[in-house]
Amino acid sequence: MSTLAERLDSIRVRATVPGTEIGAELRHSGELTVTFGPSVYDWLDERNLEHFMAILFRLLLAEWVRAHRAALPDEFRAALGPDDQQERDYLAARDTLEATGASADGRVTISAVGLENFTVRLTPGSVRELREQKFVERTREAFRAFLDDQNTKISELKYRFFT
Amino acid sequence: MSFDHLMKHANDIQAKAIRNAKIDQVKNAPPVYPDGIEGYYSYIPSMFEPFSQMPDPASYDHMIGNMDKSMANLCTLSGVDPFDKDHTCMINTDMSLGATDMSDWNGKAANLFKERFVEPFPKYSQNQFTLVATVKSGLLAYQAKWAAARRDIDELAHSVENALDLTGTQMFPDKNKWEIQFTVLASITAVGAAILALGTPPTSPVGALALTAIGAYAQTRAVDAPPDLPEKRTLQGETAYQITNEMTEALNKINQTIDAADEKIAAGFARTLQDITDSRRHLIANRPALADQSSTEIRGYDGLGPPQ
Amino acid sequence: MPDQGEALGVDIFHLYKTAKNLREVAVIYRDSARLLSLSESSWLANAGESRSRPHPVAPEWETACAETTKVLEDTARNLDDTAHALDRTADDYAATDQAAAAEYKRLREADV
Repeated sequence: MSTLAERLDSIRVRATVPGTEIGAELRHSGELTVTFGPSVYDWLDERNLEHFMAILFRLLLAEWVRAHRAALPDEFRAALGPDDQQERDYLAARDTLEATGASADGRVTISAVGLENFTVRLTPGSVRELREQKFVERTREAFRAFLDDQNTKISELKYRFFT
Repeated sequence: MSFDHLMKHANDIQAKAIRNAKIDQVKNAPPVYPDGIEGYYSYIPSMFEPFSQMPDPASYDHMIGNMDKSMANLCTLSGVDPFDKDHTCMINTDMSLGATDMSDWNGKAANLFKERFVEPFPKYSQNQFTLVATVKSGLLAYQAKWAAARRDIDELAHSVENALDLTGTQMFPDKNKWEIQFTVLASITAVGAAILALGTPPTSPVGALALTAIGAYAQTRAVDAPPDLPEKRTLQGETAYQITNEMTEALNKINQTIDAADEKIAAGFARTLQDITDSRRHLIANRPALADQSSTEIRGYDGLGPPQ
Repeated sequence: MPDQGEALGVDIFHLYKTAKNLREVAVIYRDSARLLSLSESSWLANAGESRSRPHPVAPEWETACAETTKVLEDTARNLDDTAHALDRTADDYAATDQAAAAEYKRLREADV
Protein backbone atom coordinates (compact mmCIF):
# COMPACT_ATOMS: atom_id res chain seq x y z
CA MET A 1 0.00 0.00 0.00
CA SER A 2 1.52 3.30 -1.06
CA THR A 3 1.86 6.08 1.43
CA LEU A 4 0.30 9.44 0.82
CA ALA A 5 3.75 10.78 -0.03
CA GLU A 6 4.13 8.18 -2.77
CA ARG A 7 0.64 8.88 -4.11
CA LEU A 8 1.33 12.62 -4.21
CA ASP A 9 4.66 12.08 -5.95
CA SER A 10 2.93 10.22 -8.72
CA ILE A 11 0.47 13.04 -9.45
CA ARG A 12 0.67 14.25 -13.00
CA VAL A 13 -1.82 16.62 -14.63
CA ARG A 14 -2.27 17.78 -18.18
CA ALA A 15 -4.01 20.63 -19.93
CA THR A 16 -4.47 21.81 -23.48
CA VAL A 17 -5.49 25.24 -24.68
CA PRO A 18 -8.88 24.56 -26.31
CA GLY A 19 -8.80 24.65 -30.10
CA THR A 20 -5.02 24.47 -30.23
CA GLU A 21 -2.27 21.96 -30.09
CA ILE A 22 -0.60 23.70 -27.17
CA GLY A 23 -0.39 21.50 -24.12
CA ALA A 24 1.42 21.05 -20.88
CA GLU A 25 2.02 18.46 -18.20
CA LEU A 26 2.82 19.24 -14.61
CA ARG A 27 4.15 16.81 -12.03
CA HIS A 28 3.83 16.98 -8.28
CA SER A 29 7.51 17.89 -8.10
CA GLY A 30 6.76 21.03 -10.08
CA GLU A 31 8.40 19.77 -13.22
CA LEU A 32 6.72 21.26 -16.26
CA THR A 33 6.59 20.03 -19.82
CA VAL A 34 5.18 22.22 -22.61
CA THR A 35 4.43 20.84 -26.05
CA PHE A 36 3.40 22.43 -29.30
CA GLY A 37 1.93 20.64 -32.28
CA PRO A 38 3.99 20.58 -35.53
CA SER A 39 4.82 24.12 -36.73
CA VAL A 40 2.43 25.67 -34.18
CA TYR A 41 5.13 27.64 -32.36
CA ASP A 42 6.60 28.99 -35.62
CA TRP A 43 3.33 30.64 -36.63
CA LEU A 44 2.56 32.28 -33.30
CA ASP A 45 3.27 35.91 -32.53
CA GLU A 46 4.19 37.11 -29.06
CA ARG A 47 0.80 38.48 -28.05
CA ASN A 48 -0.98 35.28 -29.02
CA LEU A 49 1.67 33.15 -27.35
CA GLU A 50 1.39 35.16 -24.11
CA HIS A 51 -2.37 34.80 -24.29
CA PHE A 52 -2.34 31.06 -24.92
CA MET A 53 0.28 30.40 -22.25
CA ALA A 54 -1.79 32.27 -19.69
CA ILE A 55 -4.81 30.13 -20.50
CA LEU A 56 -2.66 27.03 -20.43
CA PHE A 57 -1.35 27.77 -16.94
CA ARG A 58 -4.78 28.65 -15.61
CA LEU A 59 -6.17 25.31 -16.80
CA LEU A 60 -3.09 23.40 -15.70
CA LEU A 61 -3.05 24.79 -12.18
CA ALA A 62 -6.80 24.22 -11.82
CA GLU A 63 -6.16 20.57 -12.66
CA TRP A 64 -3.22 20.49 -10.25
CA VAL A 65 -5.35 21.76 -7.37
CA ARG A 66 -8.17 19.37 -8.27
CA ALA A 67 -5.79 16.38 -8.45
CA HIS A 68 -4.25 17.24 -5.08
CA ARG A 69 -7.65 17.63 -3.45
CA ALA A 70 -8.68 14.26 -4.95
CA ALA A 71 -5.53 12.65 -3.53
CA LEU A 72 -6.42 13.78 -0.05
CA PRO A 73 -7.13 10.94 2.39
CA ASP A 74 -10.76 10.68 3.51
CA GLU A 75 -10.16 12.30 6.90
CA PHE A 76 -8.76 15.40 5.17
CA ARG A 77 -11.48 15.56 2.56
CA ALA A 78 -14.05 15.36 5.33
CA ALA A 79 -12.58 18.53 6.86
CA LEU A 80 -12.48 20.66 3.69
CA GLY A 81 -14.19 24.03 3.87
CA PRO A 82 -13.65 26.97 6.18
CA ASP A 83 -14.62 26.42 9.82
CA ASP A 84 -14.18 29.91 11.17
CA GLN A 85 -13.58 33.53 10.34
CA GLN A 86 -9.82 33.21 10.61
CA GLU A 87 -9.87 30.57 7.91
CA ARG A 88 -12.19 32.64 5.74
CA ASP A 89 -9.80 35.58 6.13
CA TYR A 90 -6.93 33.34 5.09
CA LEU A 91 -8.81 32.19 1.99
CA ALA A 92 -9.59 35.79 1.05
CA ALA A 93 -5.93 36.75 1.41
CA ARG A 94 -4.83 33.66 -0.50
CA ASP A 95 -7.13 34.37 -3.40
CA THR A 96 -5.53 37.79 -3.87
CA LEU A 97 -1.98 36.55 -3.43
CA GLU A 98 0.38 37.66 -6.21
CA ALA A 99 3.22 35.42 -7.22
CA THR A 100 5.72 35.79 -10.02
CA GLY A 101 8.72 34.10 -11.58
CA ALA A 102 10.99 34.73 -14.51
CA SER A 103 13.53 32.88 -16.54
CA ALA A 104 17.18 33.71 -15.80
CA ASP A 105 17.50 35.75 -18.96
CA GLY A 106 14.32 37.64 -18.12
CA ARG A 107 12.63 36.76 -21.40
CA VAL A 108 9.71 34.85 -19.90
CA THR A 109 7.77 36.07 -16.86
CA ILE A 110 4.84 34.24 -15.35
CA SER A 111 2.57 35.90 -12.78
CA ALA A 112 -0.68 34.97 -11.14
CA VAL A 113 -3.17 36.35 -8.70
CA GLY A 114 -4.70 33.65 -6.52
CA LEU A 115 -3.44 30.87 -8.85
CA GLU A 116 -6.20 31.74 -11.33
CA ASN A 117 -5.48 35.02 -13.03
CA PHE A 118 -2.36 34.23 -14.98
CA THR A 119 -0.31 36.68 -16.98
CA VAL A 120 2.59 35.67 -19.16
CA ARG A 121 4.96 38.34 -20.51
CA LEU A 122 7.58 37.76 -23.16
CA THR A 123 10.23 40.36 -23.87
CA PRO A 124 9.81 41.71 -27.40
CA GLY A 125 11.54 39.61 -30.02
CA SER A 126 11.57 36.46 -27.92
CA VAL A 127 9.51 34.41 -30.32
CA ARG A 128 11.75 35.34 -33.24
CA GLU A 129 14.97 34.83 -31.28
CA LEU A 130 14.11 31.65 -29.44
CA ARG A 131 13.49 28.38 -31.17
CA GLU A 132 10.68 26.25 -29.73
CA GLN A 133 12.99 24.13 -27.60
CA LYS A 134 14.71 27.17 -26.06
CA PHE A 135 11.39 28.82 -25.46
CA VAL A 136 10.14 25.75 -23.64
CA GLU A 137 13.32 25.69 -21.49
CA ARG A 138 12.91 29.36 -20.55
CA THR A 139 9.25 28.73 -19.76
CA ARG A 140 10.15 25.86 -17.46
CA GLU A 141 12.66 28.06 -15.65
CA ALA A 142 10.14 30.83 -15.24
CA PHE A 143 7.50 28.41 -14.03
CA ARG A 144 9.88 26.91 -11.46
CA ALA A 145 10.66 30.39 -10.18
CA PHE A 146 6.93 31.18 -10.11
CA LEU A 147 6.12 28.01 -8.13
CA ASP A 148 8.88 28.75 -5.64
CA ASP A 149 7.51 32.25 -5.14
CA GLN A 150 3.97 30.90 -4.84
CA ASN A 151 5.03 28.30 -2.25
CA THR A 152 7.03 30.80 -0.25
CA LYS A 153 4.14 33.23 -0.14
CA ILE A 154 1.58 30.56 0.78
CA SER A 155 3.91 29.43 3.59
CA GLU A 156 4.24 32.95 4.89
CA LEU A 157 0.51 33.46 4.65
CA LYS A 158 -0.22 30.20 6.48
CA TYR A 159 2.29 30.92 9.20
CA ARG A 160 0.85 34.41 9.59
CA PHE A 161 -2.72 33.16 9.95
CA PHE A 162 -2.31 29.74 11.55
CA THR A 163 0.76 29.70 13.80
CA MET B 1 -3.06 -9.96 15.83
CA SER B 2 -0.07 -8.00 16.94
CA PHE B 3 -0.07 -4.27 17.09
CA ASP B 4 3.63 -3.99 16.32
CA HIS B 5 3.02 -1.93 13.22
CA LEU B 6 2.03 0.92 15.52
CA MET B 7 5.66 1.38 16.59
CA LYS B 8 6.69 1.54 12.94
CA HIS B 9 4.14 4.34 12.51
CA ALA B 10 5.58 6.05 15.57
CA ASN B 11 9.10 5.91 14.19
CA ASP B 12 7.94 7.17 10.79
CA ILE B 13 6.07 10.02 12.45
CA GLN B 14 9.17 10.95 14.41
CA ALA B 15 11.35 10.94 11.28
CA LYS B 16 8.86 13.00 9.28
CA ALA B 17 8.33 15.44 12.12
CA ILE B 18 12.09 16.04 12.28
CA ARG B 19 12.30 16.43 8.50
CA ASN B 20 9.42 18.90 8.43
CA ALA B 21 10.65 20.81 11.46
CA LYS B 22 13.94 21.52 9.71
CA ILE B 23 12.08 22.89 6.71
CA ASP B 24 9.82 24.93 9.01
CA GLN B 25 12.90 26.34 10.70
CA VAL B 26 14.37 27.48 7.40
CA LYS B 27 11.12 29.29 6.73
CA ASN B 28 11.34 30.91 10.18
CA ALA B 29 8.20 29.26 11.48
CA PRO B 30 7.95 29.00 15.27
CA PRO B 31 9.01 27.57 17.63
CA VAL B 32 12.63 27.82 18.50
CA TYR B 33 14.05 24.48 19.63
CA PRO B 34 16.39 25.16 22.56
CA ASP B 35 17.43 21.49 22.76
CA GLY B 36 17.52 20.98 19.04
CA ILE B 37 14.98 19.42 16.73
CA GLU B 38 16.00 15.77 17.16
CA GLY B 39 15.95 16.16 20.92
CA TYR B 40 12.50 17.68 20.94
CA TYR B 41 10.84 14.96 18.85
CA SER B 42 12.55 12.04 20.60
CA TYR B 43 9.48 11.62 22.85
CA ILE B 44 7.28 10.29 20.07
CA PRO B 45 8.02 6.54 20.12
CA SER B 46 7.73 6.32 23.92
CA MET B 47 4.38 8.09 23.70
CA PHE B 48 3.00 5.38 21.41
CA GLU B 49 4.63 2.49 23.21
CA PRO B 50 1.97 1.85 25.90
CA PHE B 51 -0.67 1.78 23.17
CA SER B 52 1.25 -0.89 21.30
CA GLN B 53 0.95 -3.02 24.43
CA MET B 54 -2.82 -2.86 24.61
CA PRO B 55 -4.48 -6.28 24.99
CA ASP B 56 -5.39 -8.06 21.79
CA PRO B 57 -9.20 -8.08 21.55
CA ALA B 58 -8.99 -11.67 20.34
CA SER B 59 -7.52 -12.68 23.69
CA TYR B 60 -11.03 -12.51 25.16
CA ASP B 61 -12.41 -14.98 22.60
CA HIS B 62 -11.56 -18.09 24.59
CA MET B 63 -13.30 -16.94 27.74
CA ILE B 64 -16.28 -15.67 25.74
CA GLY B 65 -16.47 -19.09 24.11
CA ASN B 66 -16.50 -20.70 27.56
CA MET B 67 -19.35 -18.47 28.63
CA ASP B 68 -21.26 -19.41 25.49
CA LYS B 69 -20.81 -23.08 26.40
CA SER B 70 -21.99 -22.42 29.92
CA MET B 71 -25.04 -20.63 28.55
CA ALA B 72 -25.73 -23.53 26.20
CA ASN B 73 -25.86 -25.78 29.26
CA LEU B 74 -28.32 -23.52 31.06
CA CYS B 75 -30.68 -22.83 28.19
CA THR B 76 -34.10 -24.17 29.13
CA LEU B 77 -36.74 -21.72 27.88
CA SER B 78 -35.17 -19.38 25.34
CA GLY B 79 -31.91 -19.53 23.42
CA VAL B 80 -31.81 -15.82 22.64
CA ASP B 81 -28.68 -14.18 24.05
CA PRO B 82 -30.06 -10.85 25.21
CA PHE B 83 -26.73 -9.05 24.82
CA ASP B 84 -25.12 -10.68 21.82
CA LYS B 85 -27.12 -10.74 18.63
CA ASP B 86 -24.60 -13.06 17.01
CA HIS B 87 -25.23 -15.78 19.56
CA THR B 88 -28.16 -18.10 20.09
CA CYS B 89 -28.45 -21.39 21.93
CA MET B 90 -30.53 -24.46 21.41
CA ILE B 91 -32.73 -25.56 24.28
CA ASN B 92 -30.72 -28.02 26.35
CA THR B 93 -33.01 -31.00 26.81
CA ASP B 94 -30.55 -32.56 29.26
CA MET B 95 -31.13 -29.67 31.63
CA SER B 96 -34.38 -31.10 32.90
CA LEU B 97 -35.77 -32.68 36.02
CA GLY B 98 -38.35 -34.51 33.92
CA ALA B 99 -37.10 -37.90 35.01
CA THR B 100 -37.92 -37.17 38.62
CA ASP B 101 -40.95 -39.01 39.90
CA MET B 102 -41.98 -38.01 43.37
CA SER B 103 -45.67 -38.86 43.03
CA ASP B 104 -45.41 -41.54 45.74
CA TRP B 105 -44.00 -39.13 48.27
CA ASN B 106 -46.16 -36.45 49.79
CA GLY B 107 -44.46 -35.42 52.98
CA LYS B 108 -43.92 -31.75 53.73
CA ALA B 109 -40.36 -31.55 52.41
CA ALA B 110 -41.27 -33.67 49.38
CA ASN B 111 -44.09 -31.33 48.42
CA LEU B 112 -41.92 -28.25 48.89
CA PHE B 113 -39.25 -29.93 46.76
CA LYS B 114 -41.72 -30.58 43.97
CA GLU B 115 -43.33 -27.14 44.19
CA ARG B 116 -40.31 -24.94 44.76
CA PHE B 117 -37.45 -26.82 43.20
CA VAL B 118 -38.63 -29.21 40.50
CA GLU B 119 -41.53 -27.31 39.00
CA PRO B 120 -39.80 -23.93 38.62
CA PHE B 121 -36.47 -25.50 37.70
CA PRO B 122 -36.47 -24.39 34.04
CA LYS B 123 -37.08 -20.80 35.06
CA TYR B 124 -34.20 -20.74 37.54
CA SER B 125 -31.96 -22.22 34.91
CA GLN B 126 -33.07 -19.67 32.34
CA ASN B 127 -32.44 -16.83 34.78
CA GLN B 128 -28.98 -18.23 35.38
CA PHE B 129 -28.56 -18.25 31.60
CA THR B 130 -29.36 -14.55 31.63
CA LEU B 131 -26.95 -13.98 34.51
CA VAL B 132 -24.10 -15.67 32.64
CA ALA B 133 -25.05 -13.66 29.55
CA THR B 134 -24.71 -10.52 31.64
CA VAL B 135 -21.26 -11.52 32.85
CA LYS B 136 -20.28 -12.41 29.30
CA SER B 137 -21.43 -8.98 28.14
CA GLY B 138 -18.64 -7.51 30.24
CA LEU B 139 -16.09 -9.43 28.23
CA LEU B 140 -17.76 -8.27 25.03
CA ALA B 141 -17.45 -4.73 26.34
CA TYR B 142 -13.73 -5.08 27.06
CA GLN B 143 -13.18 -6.67 23.70
CA ALA B 144 -15.08 -3.89 21.95
CA LYS B 145 -13.16 -1.30 23.95
CA TRP B 146 -9.73 -2.59 22.95
CA ALA B 147 -10.78 -3.05 19.34
CA ALA B 148 -12.06 0.54 19.23
CA ALA B 149 -8.92 1.85 20.94
CA ARG B 150 -6.72 0.09 18.38
CA ARG B 151 -8.81 1.49 15.58
CA ASP B 152 -8.68 5.03 16.98
CA ILE B 153 -4.91 4.96 17.55
CA ASP B 154 -4.29 3.44 14.13
CA GLU B 155 -6.36 6.08 12.38
CA LEU B 156 -4.76 8.84 14.41
CA ALA B 157 -1.27 7.62 13.54
CA HIS B 158 -2.16 7.34 9.84
CA SER B 159 -3.70 10.79 9.78
CA VAL B 160 -0.71 12.38 11.55
CA GLU B 161 1.64 10.81 9.05
CA ASN B 162 -0.60 12.05 6.26
CA ALA B 163 -0.60 15.54 7.73
CA LEU B 164 3.19 15.54 7.84
CA ASP B 165 3.34 14.29 4.25
CA LEU B 166 0.99 17.03 3.10
CA THR B 167 2.89 19.82 4.77
CA GLY B 168 6.38 18.45 4.27
CA THR B 169 7.72 19.62 0.98
CA GLN B 170 4.98 21.79 -0.31
CA MET B 171 2.53 24.25 0.99
CA PHE B 172 -0.85 23.31 -0.32
CA PRO B 173 -3.23 26.17 -0.81
CA ASP B 174 -5.83 24.84 1.66
CA LYS B 175 -5.51 24.95 5.41
CA ASN B 176 -4.14 21.65 6.64
CA LYS B 177 -6.80 20.00 8.77
CA TRP B 178 -8.42 16.64 9.21
CA GLU B 179 -11.12 14.84 11.14
CA ILE B 180 -10.62 12.04 13.62
CA GLN B 181 -13.05 10.06 15.71
CA PHE B 182 -13.00 8.76 19.25
CA THR B 183 -15.03 5.57 19.15
CA VAL B 184 -14.17 3.81 22.41
CA LEU B 185 -17.17 4.96 24.46
CA ALA B 186 -19.55 4.41 21.57
CA SER B 187 -18.19 0.88 21.16
CA ILE B 188 -19.22 -0.21 24.63
CA THR B 189 -22.56 1.50 24.74
CA ALA B 190 -24.58 -1.30 23.26
CA VAL B 191 -22.91 -3.71 25.58
CA GLY B 192 -22.79 -1.30 28.50
CA ALA B 193 -26.53 -1.02 28.47
CA ALA B 194 -26.67 -4.76 28.82
CA ILE B 195 -24.53 -4.71 31.88
CA LEU B 196 -27.18 -2.84 33.75
CA ALA B 197 -29.88 -5.14 32.52
CA LEU B 198 -30.16 -7.64 35.32
CA GLY B 199 -32.28 -5.22 37.21
CA THR B 200 -34.45 -5.66 40.25
CA PRO B 201 -37.67 -7.19 39.05
CA PRO B 202 -40.92 -5.63 40.18
CA THR B 203 -41.63 -6.59 43.78
CA SER B 204 -43.78 -9.68 43.74
CA PRO B 205 -43.92 -12.92 45.65
CA VAL B 206 -41.64 -15.69 44.54
CA GLY B 207 -43.53 -17.71 42.07
CA ALA B 208 -43.70 -18.59 38.45
CA LEU B 209 -44.47 -15.08 37.29
CA ALA B 210 -41.69 -13.43 39.23
CA LEU B 211 -39.13 -15.83 37.92
CA THR B 212 -39.69 -14.91 34.33
CA ALA B 213 -39.35 -11.25 35.14
CA ILE B 214 -35.59 -11.15 35.01
CA GLY B 215 -35.24 -12.33 31.44
CA ALA B 216 -37.86 -9.96 30.17
CA TYR B 217 -36.50 -7.04 32.18
CA ALA B 218 -33.02 -7.75 30.95
CA GLN B 219 -34.10 -7.64 27.37
CA THR B 220 -35.97 -4.40 27.84
CA ARG B 221 -32.95 -2.69 29.30
CA ALA B 222 -30.66 -3.85 26.52
CA VAL B 223 -32.93 -2.44 23.87
CA ASP B 224 -33.87 0.83 25.53
CA ALA B 225 -30.49 2.39 26.20
CA PRO B 226 -29.61 5.13 23.71
CA PRO B 227 -26.31 4.52 21.92
CA ASP B 228 -23.38 6.86 22.36
CA LEU B 229 -22.16 8.33 19.11
CA PRO B 230 -18.48 8.51 18.25
CA GLU B 231 -16.98 11.88 19.15
CA LYS B 232 -15.49 13.79 16.23
CA ARG B 233 -12.67 16.27 16.38
CA THR B 234 -10.92 18.35 13.74
CA LEU B 235 -7.16 18.50 14.07
CA GLN B 236 -5.03 21.07 12.28
CA GLY B 237 -1.46 22.13 11.79
CA GLU B 238 0.88 23.61 9.23
CA THR B 239 4.13 22.88 11.07
CA ALA B 240 5.57 19.70 12.57
CA TYR B 241 5.28 21.36 15.97
CA GLN B 242 1.57 22.05 15.57
CA ILE B 243 0.76 18.66 14.08
CA THR B 244 2.56 16.73 16.81
CA ASN B 245 0.94 18.84 19.51
CA GLU B 246 -2.45 17.88 18.09
CA MET B 247 -1.29 14.28 18.04
CA THR B 248 -0.29 14.40 21.71
CA GLU B 249 -3.63 15.87 22.74
CA ALA B 250 -5.49 13.25 20.74
CA LEU B 251 -3.46 10.44 22.30
CA ASN B 252 -4.27 11.82 25.74
CA LYS B 253 -7.91 11.92 24.79
CA ILE B 254 -7.84 8.30 23.61
CA ASN B 255 -6.29 7.39 26.97
CA GLN B 256 -9.11 9.23 28.73
CA THR B 257 -11.76 7.40 26.73
CA ILE B 258 -10.18 4.06 27.63
CA ASP B 259 -10.24 4.99 31.32
CA ALA B 260 -13.80 6.28 31.03
CA ALA B 261 -14.86 3.03 29.39
CA ASP B 262 -13.25 1.06 32.18
CA GLU B 263 -15.12 3.13 34.76
CA LYS B 264 -18.38 2.62 32.92
CA ILE B 265 -17.93 -1.13 32.77
CA ALA B 266 -16.87 -1.29 36.42
CA ALA B 267 -19.86 0.81 37.47
CA GLY B 268 -22.13 -1.41 35.44
CA PHE B 269 -20.87 -4.49 37.20
CA ALA B 270 -21.07 -2.88 40.60
CA ARG B 271 -24.73 -2.51 39.74
CA THR B 272 -24.90 -6.12 38.58
CA LEU B 273 -23.44 -7.26 41.90
CA GLN B 274 -26.19 -5.39 43.70
CA ASP B 275 -28.74 -6.92 41.35
CA ILE B 276 -27.44 -10.41 42.03
CA THR B 277 -27.95 -9.79 45.73
CA ASP B 278 -31.37 -8.23 45.29
CA SER B 279 -32.59 -10.84 42.86
CA ARG B 280 -31.06 -13.86 44.46
CA ARG B 281 -34.39 -15.56 45.10
CA HIS B 282 -34.93 -15.56 41.33
CA LEU B 283 -31.51 -16.93 40.55
CA ILE B 284 -31.33 -19.97 42.78
CA ALA B 285 -33.96 -22.06 44.46
CA ASN B 286 -33.75 -22.49 48.19
CA ARG B 287 -31.79 -25.52 49.23
CA PRO B 288 -34.30 -28.39 49.54
CA ALA B 289 -34.91 -29.33 53.18
CA LEU B 290 -34.57 -32.96 52.06
CA ALA B 291 -30.86 -32.41 51.58
CA ASP B 292 -30.27 -31.76 55.27
CA GLN B 293 -32.81 -34.03 56.97
CA SER B 294 -31.67 -36.96 59.07
CA SER B 295 -32.53 -40.56 58.10
CA THR B 296 -35.39 -40.59 60.60
CA GLU B 297 -36.77 -37.17 59.78
CA ILE B 298 -36.74 -37.74 56.02
CA ARG B 299 -38.90 -40.87 56.40
CA GLY B 300 -41.45 -38.98 58.48
CA TYR B 301 -44.26 -36.59 57.63
CA ASP B 302 -41.90 -33.62 57.70
CA GLY B 303 -39.68 -35.31 55.09
CA LEU B 304 -40.72 -37.51 52.22
CA GLY B 305 -43.72 -38.81 54.12
CA PRO B 306 -44.82 -42.47 54.18
CA PRO B 307 -44.31 -44.23 50.85
CA GLN B 308 -47.47 -44.38 48.77
CA MET C 1 -51.47 -47.77 54.86
CA PRO C 2 -47.87 -47.10 53.71
CA ASP C 3 -46.49 -49.28 50.91
CA GLN C 4 -44.53 -52.40 51.71
CA GLY C 5 -42.74 -55.14 49.80
CA GLU C 6 -42.89 -54.86 46.01
CA ALA C 7 -44.90 -51.66 46.08
CA LEU C 8 -42.30 -50.09 48.36
CA GLY C 9 -39.64 -51.39 45.99
CA VAL C 10 -41.29 -49.39 43.21
CA ASP C 11 -41.50 -46.30 45.42
CA ILE C 12 -37.81 -46.35 46.34
CA PHE C 13 -36.91 -47.05 42.73
CA HIS C 14 -38.58 -43.75 41.98
CA LEU C 15 -36.36 -42.11 44.61
CA TYR C 16 -33.39 -43.65 42.85
CA LYS C 17 -34.53 -42.30 39.47
CA THR C 18 -35.03 -38.88 40.91
CA ALA C 19 -31.60 -38.94 42.51
CA LYS C 20 -30.06 -40.06 39.22
CA ASN C 21 -31.70 -37.19 37.37
CA LEU C 22 -30.53 -34.72 40.05
CA ARG C 23 -26.97 -36.00 39.83
CA GLU C 24 -26.89 -35.78 36.04
CA VAL C 25 -28.05 -32.20 36.17
CA ALA C 26 -25.50 -31.47 38.91
CA VAL C 27 -22.77 -32.57 36.49
CA ILE C 28 -24.01 -30.05 33.95
CA TYR C 29 -24.07 -27.35 36.64
CA ARG C 30 -20.52 -28.11 37.73
CA ASP C 31 -19.40 -27.98 34.12
CA SER C 32 -21.18 -24.65 33.68
CA ALA C 33 -19.45 -23.29 36.79
CA ARG C 34 -16.06 -24.60 35.67
CA LEU C 35 -16.42 -22.81 32.35
CA LEU C 36 -16.69 -19.52 34.20
CA SER C 37 -13.64 -20.19 36.30
CA LEU C 38 -10.93 -17.64 35.60
CA SER C 39 -8.22 -20.09 36.49
CA GLU C 40 -9.59 -22.48 33.86
CA SER C 41 -7.27 -20.94 31.37
CA SER C 42 -4.55 -18.41 31.85
CA TRP C 43 -6.56 -16.00 29.76
CA LEU C 44 -6.04 -13.12 32.12
CA ALA C 45 -2.32 -13.39 31.58
CA ASN C 46 -2.79 -13.83 27.84
CA ALA C 47 -4.97 -10.76 27.69
CA GLY C 48 -1.76 -8.90 28.27
CA GLU C 49 -0.78 -6.06 30.52
CA SER C 50 -0.46 -2.52 29.48
CA ARG C 51 1.88 -0.40 31.53
CA SER C 52 -0.72 2.17 32.24
CA ARG C 53 -3.52 -0.33 32.65
CA PRO C 54 -2.45 -3.38 34.65
CA HIS C 55 -5.91 -4.90 35.06
CA PRO C 56 -7.60 -6.19 31.92
CA VAL C 57 -10.87 -6.56 33.84
CA ALA C 58 -12.40 -4.60 36.70
CA PRO C 59 -12.55 -6.17 40.18
CA GLU C 60 -16.31 -5.61 40.02
CA TRP C 61 -16.50 -7.81 36.95
CA GLU C 62 -14.37 -10.49 38.58
CA THR C 63 -16.60 -10.48 41.63
CA ALA C 64 -19.74 -10.68 39.48
CA CYS C 65 -18.19 -13.62 37.65
CA ALA C 66 -17.27 -15.27 40.96
CA GLU C 67 -20.77 -14.70 42.36
CA THR C 68 -22.29 -16.21 39.25
CA THR C 69 -19.98 -19.18 39.51
CA LYS C 70 -21.08 -19.60 43.10
CA VAL C 71 -24.77 -19.63 42.11
CA LEU C 72 -24.02 -22.48 39.74
CA GLU C 73 -21.84 -24.35 42.21
CA ASP C 74 -24.40 -23.94 44.98
CA THR C 75 -27.08 -25.31 42.67
CA ALA C 76 -24.84 -28.28 41.86
CA ARG C 77 -24.24 -28.92 45.54
CA ASN C 78 -27.95 -28.70 46.37
CA LEU C 79 -28.71 -31.18 43.60
CA ASP C 80 -26.01 -33.60 44.73
CA ASP C 81 -26.89 -33.35 48.41
CA THR C 82 -30.57 -33.90 47.70
CA ALA C 83 -29.68 -36.85 45.48
CA HIS C 84 -27.54 -38.29 48.24
CA ALA C 85 -30.37 -37.95 50.77
CA LEU C 86 -32.80 -39.74 48.45
CA ASP C 87 -30.34 -42.54 47.70
CA ARG C 88 -29.64 -43.01 51.39
CA THR C 89 -33.37 -43.13 52.14
CA ALA C 90 -33.94 -45.73 49.41
CA ASP C 91 -31.14 -47.86 50.89
CA ASP C 92 -32.54 -47.39 54.42
CA TYR C 93 -35.96 -48.64 53.28
CA ALA C 94 -34.41 -51.53 51.34
CA ALA C 95 -32.48 -52.58 54.43
CA THR C 96 -35.71 -53.14 56.39
CA ASP C 97 -37.80 -54.87 53.71
CA GLN C 98 -36.35 -57.75 51.69
CA ALA C 99 -39.14 -57.93 49.15
CA ALA C 100 -38.81 -54.19 48.56
CA ALA C 101 -35.04 -54.55 48.20
CA ALA C 102 -35.47 -57.36 45.64
CA GLU C 103 -37.98 -55.40 43.57
CA TYR C 104 -35.79 -52.29 43.87
CA LYS C 105 -32.78 -54.26 42.61
CA ARG C 106 -34.74 -55.81 39.74
CA LEU C 107 -36.02 -52.44 38.59
CA ARG C 108 -32.57 -50.89 38.78
CA GLU C 109 -31.04 -53.62 36.69
CA ALA C 110 -33.81 -53.32 34.10
CA ASP C 111 -33.31 -49.56 33.91
CA VAL C 112 -30.46 -49.07 31.50
